Amino acid sequence: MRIDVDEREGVAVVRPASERVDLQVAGRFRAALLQLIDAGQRRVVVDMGAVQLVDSSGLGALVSALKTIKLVKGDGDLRLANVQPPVVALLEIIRLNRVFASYPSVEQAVHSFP
Amino acid sequence: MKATILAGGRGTRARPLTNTVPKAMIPIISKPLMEFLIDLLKQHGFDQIIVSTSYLAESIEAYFRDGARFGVQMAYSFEGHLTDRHTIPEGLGSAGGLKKIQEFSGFFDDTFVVLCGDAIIDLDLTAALAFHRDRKALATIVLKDVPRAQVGSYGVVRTTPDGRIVQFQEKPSPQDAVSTTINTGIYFFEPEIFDHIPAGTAFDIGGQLCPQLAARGLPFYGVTLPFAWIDIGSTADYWRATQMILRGGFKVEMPGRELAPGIWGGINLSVDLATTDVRPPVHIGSSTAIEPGATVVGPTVIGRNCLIQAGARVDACIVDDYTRVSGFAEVHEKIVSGRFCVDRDGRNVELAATGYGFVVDDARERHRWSDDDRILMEFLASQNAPHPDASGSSHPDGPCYATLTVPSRVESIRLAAEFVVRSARNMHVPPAADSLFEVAIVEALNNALKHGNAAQRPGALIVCEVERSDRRLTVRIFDQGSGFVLPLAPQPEWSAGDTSTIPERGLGIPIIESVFPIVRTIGHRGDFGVEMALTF
Repeated sequence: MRIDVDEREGVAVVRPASERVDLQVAGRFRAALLQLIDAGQRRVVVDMGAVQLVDSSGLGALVSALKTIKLVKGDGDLRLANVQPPVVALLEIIRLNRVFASYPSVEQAVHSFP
Repeated sequence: MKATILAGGRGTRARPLTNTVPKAMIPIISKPLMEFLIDLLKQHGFDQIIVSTSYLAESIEAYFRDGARFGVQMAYSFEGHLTDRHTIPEGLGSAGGLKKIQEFSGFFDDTFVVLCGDAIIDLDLTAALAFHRDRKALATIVLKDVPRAQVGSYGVVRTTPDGRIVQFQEKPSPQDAVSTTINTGIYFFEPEIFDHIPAGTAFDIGGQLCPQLAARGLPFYGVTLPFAWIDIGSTADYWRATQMILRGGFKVEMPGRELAPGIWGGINLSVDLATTDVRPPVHIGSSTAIEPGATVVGPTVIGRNCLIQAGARVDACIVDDYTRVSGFAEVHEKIVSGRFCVDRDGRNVELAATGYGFVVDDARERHRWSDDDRILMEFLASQNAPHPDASGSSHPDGPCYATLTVPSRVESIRLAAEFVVRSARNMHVPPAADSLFEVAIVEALNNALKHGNAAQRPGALIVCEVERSDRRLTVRIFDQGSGFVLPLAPQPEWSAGDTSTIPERGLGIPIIESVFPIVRTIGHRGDFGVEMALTF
C-alpha cells in the first residue's frame, strides 16, 4: 500500500492509497504515522477518501497515533477527512466518532486546526 | 382445500440473512415467515399444502415436517438434485413447478391457491375465493395499488370495471406501465390452468402465464381487497417490517409473555428491568441475558441465547440468536449477528471478518484477544467512561426517549406538536424553548398529513418519536404514505434570523432545516418518515 504524506499549512496530511487498511498494511500505516509524530508533527489529518474498510489493526494504528499526539499537552490532534460510509458506520458502532473529529474534506480538516 | 407455497428462491437480495436460512425461514420476531402463511391458510380451510423448495430445503422440512403440529397436511416438491450433497436448483419456474406436481400425482383437482413464501399477508382468502368462483374465473390474482415509482418490480395489470384483466405487463418501466395496480403474487387457479402450462420446460407465472392468459382473452380476473402485504424481498424490507410489526402496524401475536408494558420475553431470561434500561417495544428471546448498565431501545428484537453486556446500546435493531453485543458497541438501526452486521438499508458493515469480534460476535465463541485488540479495548473502555462535557458540568440526564401515536387528522397536529416540544423540553434540549422549533415540528407533521397520509385509508396514523442521547436530539415523524423525495418544494432565499423574510408557502423543509441541521427521509414502503436531528 502506498501512503502519501503531504504538508499543508503546517498540518501533515496522510493518505493511505488503499481500499483496505487491514492487518496486512496496518504495521506500515502505524509506522508512517508515528514517524511523523516523532519528527515533531502534532497536527495530523488522515485522508480516508480511498478507504472502504478499516479492520481492528488499522484502527489500532489510528488510535495509537492519536494517543501519542495527546501525550503532549497542547492543541495537537489527529483528525479524519473524507471518511467513507462503511467506515463511518463502523466508527459509530464503537463510538469512535466521538473520539476522532471528522470533516467532509481535507481542506476543512486542515483549516479546523487553530 | 389445496394450496401451494413457492419457497424455492435463493433470496439473493436478502443476503446475508439468506446465507444460512431460506427466505421462508427468516424469523419475524421469533416465528419463521412461512409459518404466518401456514396459519392463514389453515384459518381459511386450506389444509393440504405443498411447498416447492430448492435452496436449503432441509431447514424448511425440518421445521414444518408433515404439518401436523400446525393443524394441516404438508408435503414438499424439491426442485433440483443433489451433487456431492450440494443442491443444484432446477429452474422450472413457478408455473413449471406446479406442472411438475400435477403430472406427478394430479394433486390439484379443485380450485387452489398459490402464495409466495416471502411476504406476510392478512388477506381474507375466503372472500378472494368467493370472488374467483362468482366470476367463474380460470385464474384470479390479488391486486394492490402502489406508487408509480415502484411498478417496475411487479406485474402491472389493466382491468375492466368488473375485474377482468385485459392486459398484463411484467415489470414495466414506470413510464410504460398501463396502471399502478400490481400483482401481489397471490393466485387462485382452476385445475384447467394446466392446459396452458407446457410440460418439461421452465415456465413462470408472472412472466409468461399471466401475460398469455390476458392476451388470449381467457377468464382471467384481478381482485382488490383491503389487506396488509409485507413483502420481505430484501434485507432492508426485513428491517422495516420488523420495526413496523413491533410498533403495532401489523397485528401479530407476540410470543412469550409481557414482562412490562411493551416489553415481551421468553423464559429463562437474565434481565432485571429495574436496573436495566429497556424501552419498549422490545421482544427478548428465551435464555438471553441483558446485563445491568446495558441500554436497549425499541423497536428492537433480541434473539434467543444472546448476551447484551453492560455499557452496550442497542437501538432499533434486530439481534440474531446467539449474538454477544459487547459494552463497546452502540448499534443503531442494524441487523446484527455473530456472522454479520448490516444497516437498515441492507449495507454490510464489516465486523465479523475484520477483527472486531471484541465488539460483536457469537455468544458461544471463546476468543484469545491479540495484544493489539487489548490496546484498542482498553482505549475504548477509557473513552466510554463518563466524562464532563466542555462546559465542565456533567450531563444531567442519560439518553431519553418518548413516543406518541395519533390519528392522521388535522385536529391531531396541535397535540402531536405539543407532545414533541414538551418532550424535548423535559429532556433539557435548549432549542425546544425557541418558537421556530415548534414551527418546524408543525411543518413536519403537516407534511406527514398532507403528503404522507393523503389518499390513505381512514385510520392512518402518525407516529412521533423524540430521542435525546448526549447532546443530540432526534425527532422522527412517521406516516403511512409511500414517501416523497427531499426537497419537497423549491427553496427560496430567506434569512432564518429575520422572520419577515419568510414567504408564506413552500417553505416547510427550509424551516425544518433551519432548526434541524440534519433532515433525511427514512423508510420506503408502508411506514415512512422524516428524521430530524440537531446537536446542542
